[in-house]
Amino acid sequence: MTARSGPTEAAARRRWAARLPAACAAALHVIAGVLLFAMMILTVVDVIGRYLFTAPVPGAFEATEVMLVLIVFVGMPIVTGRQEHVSVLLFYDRAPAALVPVLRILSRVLTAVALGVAAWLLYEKGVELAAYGDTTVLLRIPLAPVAYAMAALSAVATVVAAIAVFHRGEAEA
Amino acid sequence: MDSWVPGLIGLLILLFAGVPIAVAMGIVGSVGLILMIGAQGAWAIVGQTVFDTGLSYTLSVVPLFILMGNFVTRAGLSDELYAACHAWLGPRPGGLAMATAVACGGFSAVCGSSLATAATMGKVALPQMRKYRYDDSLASGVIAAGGTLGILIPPSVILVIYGVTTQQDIGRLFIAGIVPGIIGILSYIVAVRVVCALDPSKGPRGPKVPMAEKLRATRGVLGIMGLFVLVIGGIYVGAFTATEAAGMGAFGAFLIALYRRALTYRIVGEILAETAATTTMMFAVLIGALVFANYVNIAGLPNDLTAFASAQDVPPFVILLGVLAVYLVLGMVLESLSMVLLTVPIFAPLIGALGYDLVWFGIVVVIMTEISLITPPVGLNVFVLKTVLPDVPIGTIFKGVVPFILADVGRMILLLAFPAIALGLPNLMG
Amino acid sequence: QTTLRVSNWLPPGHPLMTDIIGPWGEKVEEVTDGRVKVEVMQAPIGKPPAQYDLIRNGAADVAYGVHGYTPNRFGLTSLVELPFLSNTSEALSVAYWRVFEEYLKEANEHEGVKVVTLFTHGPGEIYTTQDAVTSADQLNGAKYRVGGGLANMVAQKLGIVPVSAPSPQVYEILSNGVADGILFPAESVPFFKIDTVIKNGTSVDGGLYNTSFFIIMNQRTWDGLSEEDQKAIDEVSGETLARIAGQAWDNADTAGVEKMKSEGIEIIEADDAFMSALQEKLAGIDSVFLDAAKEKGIDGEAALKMLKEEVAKESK
Ligand code: NA
Ligand code: NA
Repeated sequence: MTARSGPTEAAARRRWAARLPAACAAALHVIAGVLLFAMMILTVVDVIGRYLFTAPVPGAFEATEVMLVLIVFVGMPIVTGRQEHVSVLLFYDRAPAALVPVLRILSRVLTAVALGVAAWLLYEKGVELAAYGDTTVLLRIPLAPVAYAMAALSAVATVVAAIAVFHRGEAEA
Repeated sequence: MDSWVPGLIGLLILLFAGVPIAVAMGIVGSVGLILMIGAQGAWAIVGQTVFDTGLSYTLSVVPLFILMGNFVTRAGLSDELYAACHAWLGPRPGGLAMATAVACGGFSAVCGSSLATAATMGKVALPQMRKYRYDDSLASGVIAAGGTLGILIPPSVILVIYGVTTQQDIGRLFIAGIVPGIIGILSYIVAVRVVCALDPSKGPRGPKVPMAEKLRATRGVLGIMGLFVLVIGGIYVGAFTATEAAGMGAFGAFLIALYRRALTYRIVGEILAETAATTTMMFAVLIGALVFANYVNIAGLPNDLTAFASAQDVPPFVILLGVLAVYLVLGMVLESLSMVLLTVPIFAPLIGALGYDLVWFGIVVVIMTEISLITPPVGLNVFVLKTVLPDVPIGTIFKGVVPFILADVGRMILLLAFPAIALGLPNLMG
Repeated sequence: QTTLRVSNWLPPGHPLMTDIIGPWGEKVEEVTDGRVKVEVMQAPIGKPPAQYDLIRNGAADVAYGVHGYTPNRFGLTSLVELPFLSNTSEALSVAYWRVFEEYLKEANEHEGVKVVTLFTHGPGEIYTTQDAVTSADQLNGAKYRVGGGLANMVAQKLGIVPVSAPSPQVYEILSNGVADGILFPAESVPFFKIDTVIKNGTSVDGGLYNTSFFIIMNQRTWDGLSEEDQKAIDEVSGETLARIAGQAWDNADTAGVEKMKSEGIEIIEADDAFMSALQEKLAGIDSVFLDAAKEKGIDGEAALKMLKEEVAKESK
């Protein structure tokens, strides 16, 4: 996805990812994988149930929505840790050497800030949803826990991004 | 009225400073909203956008189509697809490059992403072309360009995002991409032919292949054909919604990979984790872009643009050309998904107001995005090829894509002149 | 001078904008002598279920929305979603506002916002891609797309297999046979472009279900208006606006029926035997509202009685 995809950088990224507590990263990978696989199976069961047994899975699309949003946020600490967020590195790659650390720190600080704000907003959203007891329309899946989970995952990603601020970039390492 | 001007400038500065696109759009959008409607209202919009964007049934096709492509690759179908094209086209002058263009198109029929198509076909086709002493710039150029078909020939992640942003039917958009995609393949073949006519040493003939061998190789295409018929055929006849087709396609690819004993628990885990990570990257950009879109909308940018355009005393066609010029320039520097997300909410209302069909415009946007993937200085498909060919200078690859950019321009002129190229099939569908 | 920004999530030509919000905005300007202007925002600022929170938090000043999109929040609004209440949206909407003022308001379900008005859409009917539905038995085991809320409960009691799909996919699931039919008001059939796949309609006396809508204003925006302007706006909101909204839906339903008829869709009325079978199967569904009323300390029986009386008065 990014111009930062050279093989050497990729290796450096992996080294960095290893600094995440390894068990935590592995757990996130497994959770994201299981959710994605389950989402695929749910669609298949819904379609097959409908054609063969005229029994679609009731409210399947609501479960799919919740799974998708969880996949996206489970991946947030992983992608942040691997420094894989999409960027335009046109100028960055040609910037004068003195400017590079400034740009690098700027971009990492802003990433941490953005993720931190997202965590806070999602927590606030969770509080609001909990106060109303909001659920999805058909399956009545409670939405507050979903928002809290998203907030917690964003918070983890914020920590990961904040640690990266104090790291030297892959190119200089 | 012009409160979107500082926002656009701020965004460009942050983007060029190398700040992740999602972060830059999210921060500029939030700050802009706060300045315009106050902190409480702004945070309500931003929080809601962060929470809601992923809660979308329609967008669940994005990871599922990426997953399908990953299973297809792991099942080895891409190698067989190339072998078949190679057997039929290889013996002609430039034949391996033509085979590559066709195989890229074929792989695009089961993969929703251009980068994945370029990366996959790069691994498969490059070693073959190098073996037969193809010119590096032609070999890498045809893959970089052929790979762009991944987002035009359905399924296409970019068309899904376009459909969600403009509220157009995703099934219709997919079907609209088929004919322009086939024209794309043909035009790339012509480009190869011209290059080899000018300098035959760039694309020597491959070995002759006996008919029996050709037929045997063709059987290898059955898997990919089957998946395409299941997914796109299913959408066309109305058996599935696009979302269901994505799930069925991913599962079909999973079964094929399983049947071919290409999977272990570990490999499945890797594929799922990689797909999930790609999904997160894309949605991060999507969330940032929606926050930014809220800001420019409230700041009145689309209205100002429409007002500006209608104040010009020129036919709509000229305005359309102006929009295309903007895409060409942005496409030089921006990554494809961000370009679509940044421009479509701004331009689609204008184009709609001019009376153009928005399904057709979706195909126009995708072809402009295809061009952006191979134009310097930021051409992501070229960068992908560079990682497969570390010893070839990037300038050589950019030189190699020039004939194909010309082919794309020709295809764009055709599409502008004959909208039915895109709209014919979906209109038949009813 | 104040400008009220209206959040809009429907396409520009929708009756909710052109016939309800639009005229209301003009009247607001008129009765406040131009001190308060109403401006519809061009692009949606959030999904439909998010409208209430966006307005409460001041992301825009005014929005409309559907109570049923956020289940659990609004128990009392199920009152007007019950079956067999009214053949017109106008009568039900006006009655709704009166009962709201009299009984429902004190439960303060619309906390944190100014309620501009409440209304309902026209009666929910039966539309099918198959043979005409003339008896309750035909519904038993049939696959119908139903939205959430009370309509879902109605479907369950009738033995309908509910097919769930977000509304943009309604066309797809009907045209590919995933669902045999749909419970919808007449207006929605052409709006969702399913008039090409629907073959038959059965209209149910009083409607099989209904949907409750709100128009709300940010509280601080409201408090910031002068008392004079508030009074003037109240004059053109509340019952007045509920009536306009009801008439708009009724007109849209009439247009919908005409469009369907011109395309050869047969619409019949449920006969007495069908109606009594429906009434029998749906007996006791009132308890959805009555239980919610009890929980919130409202006299549900009295509210329901008043609603029916007011509908009768308005239906003359
Ligand atoms: Na594709
Ligand atoms: Na480019």
